[in-house]
Amino acid sequence: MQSKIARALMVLMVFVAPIGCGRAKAPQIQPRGTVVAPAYPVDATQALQLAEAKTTIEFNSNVLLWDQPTGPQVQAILDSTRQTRLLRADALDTINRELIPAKKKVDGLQAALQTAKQKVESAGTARDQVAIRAYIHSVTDQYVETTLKDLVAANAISAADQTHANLLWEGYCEGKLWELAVSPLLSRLYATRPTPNGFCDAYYTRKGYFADAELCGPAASADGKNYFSCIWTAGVLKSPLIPTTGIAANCANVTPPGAKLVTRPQAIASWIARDGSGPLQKALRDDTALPNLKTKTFGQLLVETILGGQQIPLQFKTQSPELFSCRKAFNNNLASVPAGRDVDASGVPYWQQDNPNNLLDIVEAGEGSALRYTLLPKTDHTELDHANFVKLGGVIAPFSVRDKTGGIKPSYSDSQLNEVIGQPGLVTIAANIDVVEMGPLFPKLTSFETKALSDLKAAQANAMADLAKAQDEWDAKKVAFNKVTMEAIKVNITDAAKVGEVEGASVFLNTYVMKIEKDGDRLKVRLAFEQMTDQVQVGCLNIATGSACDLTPEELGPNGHVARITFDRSSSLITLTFDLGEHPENLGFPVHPRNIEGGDIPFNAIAPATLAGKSFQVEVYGNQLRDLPIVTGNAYVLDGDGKSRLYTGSLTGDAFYQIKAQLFQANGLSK
Amino acid sequence: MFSPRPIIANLVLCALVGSTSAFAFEDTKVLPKGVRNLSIRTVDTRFNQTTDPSGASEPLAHLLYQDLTFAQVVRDDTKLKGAQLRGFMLQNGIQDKDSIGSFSAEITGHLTVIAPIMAFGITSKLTLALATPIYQAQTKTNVGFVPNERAQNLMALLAKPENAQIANGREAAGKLNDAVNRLNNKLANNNFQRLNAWNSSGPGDATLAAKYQYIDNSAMGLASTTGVVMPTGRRKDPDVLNDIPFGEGVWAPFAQIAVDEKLPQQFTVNQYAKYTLPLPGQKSVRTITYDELVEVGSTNARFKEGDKIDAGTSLRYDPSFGLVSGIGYSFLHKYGDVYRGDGVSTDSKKALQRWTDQTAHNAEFMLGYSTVPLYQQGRVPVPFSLRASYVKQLAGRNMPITNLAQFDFDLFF
Repeated sequence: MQSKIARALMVLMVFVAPIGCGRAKAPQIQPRGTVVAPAYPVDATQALQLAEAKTTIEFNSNVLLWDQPTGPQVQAILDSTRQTRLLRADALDTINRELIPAKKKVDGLQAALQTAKQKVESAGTARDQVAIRAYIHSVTDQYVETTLKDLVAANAISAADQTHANLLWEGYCEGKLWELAVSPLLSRLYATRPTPNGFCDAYYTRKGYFADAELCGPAASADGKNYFSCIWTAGVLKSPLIPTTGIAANCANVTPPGAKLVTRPQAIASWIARDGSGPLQKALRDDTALPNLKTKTFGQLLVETILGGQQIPLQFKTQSPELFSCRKAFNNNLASVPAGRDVDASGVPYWQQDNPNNLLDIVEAGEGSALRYTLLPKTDHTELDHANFVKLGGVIAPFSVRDKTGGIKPSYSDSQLNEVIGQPGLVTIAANIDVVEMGPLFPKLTSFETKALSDLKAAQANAMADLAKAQDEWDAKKVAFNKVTMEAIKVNITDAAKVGEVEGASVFLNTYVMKIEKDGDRLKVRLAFEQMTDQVQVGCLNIATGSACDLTPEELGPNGHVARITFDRSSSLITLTFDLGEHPENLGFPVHPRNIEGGDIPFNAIAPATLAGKSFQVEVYGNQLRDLPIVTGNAYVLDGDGKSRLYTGSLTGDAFYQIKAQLFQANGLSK
Repeated sequence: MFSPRPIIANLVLCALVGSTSAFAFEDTKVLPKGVRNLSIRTVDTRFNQTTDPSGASEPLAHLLYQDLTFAQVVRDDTKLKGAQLRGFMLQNGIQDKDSIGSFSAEITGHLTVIAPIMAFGITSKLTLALATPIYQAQTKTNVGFVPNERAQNLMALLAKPENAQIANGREAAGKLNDAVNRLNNKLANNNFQRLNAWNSSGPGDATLAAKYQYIDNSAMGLASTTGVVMPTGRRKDPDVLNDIPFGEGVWAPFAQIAVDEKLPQQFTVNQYAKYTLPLPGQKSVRTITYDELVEVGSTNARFKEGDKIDAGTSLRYDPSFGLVSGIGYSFLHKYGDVYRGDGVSTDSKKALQRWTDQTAHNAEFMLGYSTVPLYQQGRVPVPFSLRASYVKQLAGRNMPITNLAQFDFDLFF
């Protein structure tokens, strides 16, 4: 029986043994994916510009410390930081891609316009100037008088207005005479007598000015003639501006009524003698302009030239207060007849009491000026007023005005009607002929031009138009940059500070400036909290050896403190640490309450006693957001052992202001 | 992240080996008085699939198919870095619950049970039996992690110059690229075993049963079996996610009724029904919740395993020349476990009780040879039988899909 059992068990083993010897099937290998870790910028060194042999780059922005940061608080900071960076990168984009090209375009067009103008000026003789003068005379002769008559006939103005306007017109012409007489234009040599203004010639003829054939006749030779004596003797001295019969001079500083007064001619003589470096003296001292007067004494020359030979006892070296004061009166262009003076004002038109320069405003005041309606009074009809202005002041002013910006320039009337032979010592400045010739006054002028001149003038006009358009674009871009882009950055600074107002955190917010200077292997980092202290932390490191380098007293400066820095090449991570000492408030950490709404950006809610004996550390690495170098990193307040972090925070920064200043300076964008 | 509940749910193999025959192939026979029966039952199964509550099949390691969220990535960081990352997420509209990648895994298992069963005919109507199974089990696990597009987008966002969070990005990338190892580290830090291969062998729950035959005539048979499953087997280790328990750890009395209808030509139809009533017990569990599955502690919890119902029917053909064959159907249902007492929170109870109710429908096939009829005719000296069975799971709920191969050798003496 037992053997039977044993055989049965052996059979059992045959069946059982194979069972259970197998292993679990190998599971299918599960996929394991990876993400590509972001790499530090290839030009990580470029962001801090440390690949350069020698470089300086300055970052500034905010340092923010938290006591216990939360996600939403950090989100607010990240939002703000991101916005700041994008705004500033956009601003640099705007500078590089809009402002600089616009400025270069303006500069280029200005040069092109200058070239075009010079070509026109050079080709100025390429037209029949004799015919042009005759044509202009034909238009300007009696123009004002005729126009006034027409306006009366058309019931646009009354007869009284006409009389008033004629009277004021005479005052304007006297003003133009005065303007020429006292300007260096009169020191030029002319072939014929220059006219103060083409529109006024009829008036001058009526008044008998410039009738002296010897003084005012044509030049005897092709060398030209100086008409100073003509304008003065046969013009100014005949003018009601300068009465010769017992009218007292306007000597403002003369002693009270009853004191000795001098006649106007005496005052003029005194003024000329004592003009010093004034324009009259300059013109008179130009020997090439007055070669025939060289043999005479200076005073005699003046007296003979201006006063037509009248011999007035004149001691021009005498410091006579009366004469001195009178000269000042003329220099100041004061009115001919003083108010309140005991003078005989009979026969003097009321405009003679006005300042000679004001007489010019009768016509030359701009359309926006209050004097615009001096010649013709303002009505209740705007369109009528504008039409009247266009007929008179609107056409006469461009023709007649002499630009006095940076020294007097000839008017259109001067450049076309006055035959200049020589003007040594004076810069050749052409009148803006396009302002006149493009208008309705002289429609036939272009027929006197050669085709070449017409083309050059067209090119000049196009250059002016292009420049005006480019200037408008440049101005608009500047305005947009200042009022929109920079304003947004300014607002963002305040907004960025407001993230520190989030409740529930102990926050320290400050504004810093970090300057990184590299010279070879020597890396120097300066960290300053400029709004809180004048003290600066300076660290120096030899990046080849990794050891600290010494700082010279000049490098450290009177307010500098040595800081410790390290540099990690693989990530361009710079770590700067400095001790806060016993008085951290002196190093930029005073208690400073929040007052962001009041415009006080930095604030500090951590008491100096808490920070005393601790150290402050920042670790930053660089990056580049388009044209904007940026730094990102963390900031810590470390415990006394330099390891435990009592406060943690973030540091962000960019070199926007430095880059902006460099771009502005290099491209003249401030102009 | 993962449910430390039994990844491999109770295979209910205890019930399998606790029977004196294959699942469906019950009968009403008892041993003659004084006759002994030594049965060696060997069950072998390999598995890597399970069924979900709806009955659909899914990988056995489906509970390891989990998303890694942003919140989980930042949770372990320092206060500053965590705040920086969380602030960055908020800034870019990334939610805590957003997935950054997915874990996947496969677990394969192999289980062999050798169960010696000793039976003795007390009387001609009453047979007593004792089963003492020996388990040998092994699992292998492979875990993977694939970051999704959101992860790569996050890296790109961190690296953008206007954000300039490269340092944090590199750190986050490092974490993602080491996710599987970090997972295992996290498990280990929380006293779980790392997800590596596991194997073990040892005794399972022993079963003591008494079968009484009420009726046995030419037309039918009727018998009942009562007994108890004894907690001798290795229990589920709450710190090992991929182990196989060898026992439930509680006493579980049961009662079964079986009926044979004896048909002509040596066919027999059988039906049976069995009810198992596990008694309340205590065991060590991890206090998981639906939201937190790893960083949890342990505690001893009072629990009551769900009652079980087994039922089946079969058709057998046992001709006198010794062939044994049959086909059958069996049904198993286990009710859900219940945890009690104040030692476990309500949320933990819910998590522990989830998916503990089980159902299975099986088909079985048997073929073998028995010398008992010939022995009874005096034509063979040793009465024994040898059977091979195959159990195919037709459907299930919350059950590993385990198609079993079973070999039974019976020796009568």
